[in-house]
Amino acid sequence: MGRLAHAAGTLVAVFVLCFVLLHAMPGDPQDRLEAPGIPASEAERTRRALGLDAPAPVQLVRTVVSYARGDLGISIGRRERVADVLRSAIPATMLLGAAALALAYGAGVPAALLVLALPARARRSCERVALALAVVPRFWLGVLLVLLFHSLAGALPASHAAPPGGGGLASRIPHLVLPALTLAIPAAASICRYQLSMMEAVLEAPHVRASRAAGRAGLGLLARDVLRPSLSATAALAGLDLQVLVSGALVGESVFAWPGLGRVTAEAVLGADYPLALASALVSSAAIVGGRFLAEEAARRLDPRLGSPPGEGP
Amino acid sequence: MSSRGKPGVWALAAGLATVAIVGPALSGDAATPSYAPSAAQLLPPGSAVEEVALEGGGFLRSRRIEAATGGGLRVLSESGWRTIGGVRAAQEPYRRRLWLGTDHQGRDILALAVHGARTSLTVAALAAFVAVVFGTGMGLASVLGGGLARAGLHLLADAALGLPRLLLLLILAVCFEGSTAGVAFAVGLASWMETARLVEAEARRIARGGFFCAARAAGASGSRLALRHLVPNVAPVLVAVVPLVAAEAVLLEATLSYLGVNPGGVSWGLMVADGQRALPHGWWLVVFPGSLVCLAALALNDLARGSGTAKAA
Repeated sequence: MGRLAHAAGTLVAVFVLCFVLLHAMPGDPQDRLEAPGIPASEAERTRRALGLDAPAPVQLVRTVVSYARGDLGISIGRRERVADVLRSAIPATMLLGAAALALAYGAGVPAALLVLALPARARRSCERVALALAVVPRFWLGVLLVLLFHSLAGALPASHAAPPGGGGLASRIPHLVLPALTLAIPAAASICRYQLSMMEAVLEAPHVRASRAAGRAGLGLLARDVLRPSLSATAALAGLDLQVLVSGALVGESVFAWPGLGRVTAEAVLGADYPLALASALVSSAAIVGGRFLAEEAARRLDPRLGSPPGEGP
Repeated sequence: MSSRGKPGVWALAAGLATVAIVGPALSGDAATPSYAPSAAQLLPPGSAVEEVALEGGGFLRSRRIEAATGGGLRVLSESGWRTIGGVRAAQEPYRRRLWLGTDHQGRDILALAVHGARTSLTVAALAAFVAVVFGTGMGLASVLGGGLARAGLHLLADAALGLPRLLLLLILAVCFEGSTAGVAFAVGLASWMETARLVEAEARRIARGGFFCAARAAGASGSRLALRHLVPNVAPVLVAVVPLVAAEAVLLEATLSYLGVNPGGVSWGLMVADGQRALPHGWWLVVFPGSLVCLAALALNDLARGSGTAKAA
């Protein structure tokens, strides 16, 4: 119960932090909207209509009250209800995130197993490649993939989630490939590195030696006796990977003009669209805090030794 | 696993730093040529061009340049020779090779990349400094302060870690946009949390030590406890953390400028964003600056592993 309260408290703190930081940005949304021809009185009227003339603490209270009523406000840049914008953006991001997470685990864990089966020297080079793939900036990876598969090969579409005018599922899948790869490759590399270090630790365990003595060897030994005991730790990492994925979606979606939460958030922040930026930041944060909470819970269920509350461990 | 024995890493890091410091003076002008005919735009790597500085500033870049008979200059472009009136060369045209090609404004990619190195590495160094100073301050305050201060600082760190780092950074960067120091400050303020946690854990361990209790019992002030007893003892942690924070800062700065936050100068991320717009042609516009980001981040990561193993292993 304490953990749940902690997660909720964190979300409240995130809300206040975002509000303060957004209002510390120079200029207000009206300045960014202002077309050269608009007279000052008109701008002032809009500002009052949007509630931007009130002091920041008053605005904070007003926002809290309207959030409590379930009203997320109206996006200043898009002139749409924030809830509607989020409702169309969140499924797109969830689709992208699920595809990326599946690809990352689907590639990362088997890759770790294969690398572990290699001789020591080749293993070092593979670790090196994995490190390089884990630090490669996502935006650049995305642009490179566009260069290779769109510009040179002409095989895959480079932007948007669907062909112009929409289309069935089959026509949407090609649009998903490059953005999902962009998010999945660095994640797969980190999963591979983590899984590898976990398995290297298990390799020293007595039960592995016993298995070896019983005549098992090669990939069979690795899969049965080394992979299985180390898999739960990596699986628990999925909750923590959400932070990386949500962060990555912010830039990945901008590269591919993917109509998801990340791109909406980036645009809202860069355009000083307070209501939309605040709400979308809160949604991202809820995903991260929730993911972390679930990961801790899962790890605790899987390993009863982790039962002691945080901060009071040995 | 230690890379302390690998001179290559240090050479790479030192090389990048040297390029950032003296490179812009050697590599020539990264500015747009005052007159860049189509023949100077989007030249592939290794193209040869002629350049000439103009009287009254600026310079001209084309495939061939000659003085015209009635004043002005004649340049060779794809459509043949053309005369540009009203300009005078300040010296003889000279020929050189552009090893990394030019962009769609006729700018030299190598010169841009070198200027970008200065921006990126300045941001990385400043950001690491800000993050480490801020993080250390927070960590120590949390150990030395009362329960309320500790709870407040923990809540702040939790909130900052509860946002995607890039989003926190984006909001901060918009606050400080427009100058290299401002962007560096934003990157630093988005990366202090891990340092604060590490410093706090280490300082808490030290604070249980006998010498610390003795100092406290002898009536040492909070600042004396922090500066005289805690900072020197957490220094090894900081040494291991600085290159890691800097590596992350290189990536964050590149991403920020790619997303459109002005870093106050040429930047690798900005170059990739520009190059993407011209993408069907000109792979060199995106490949080179991006590789430099990776190279810098990898070199700093290796430095971190080198300095980290001394302590952590």
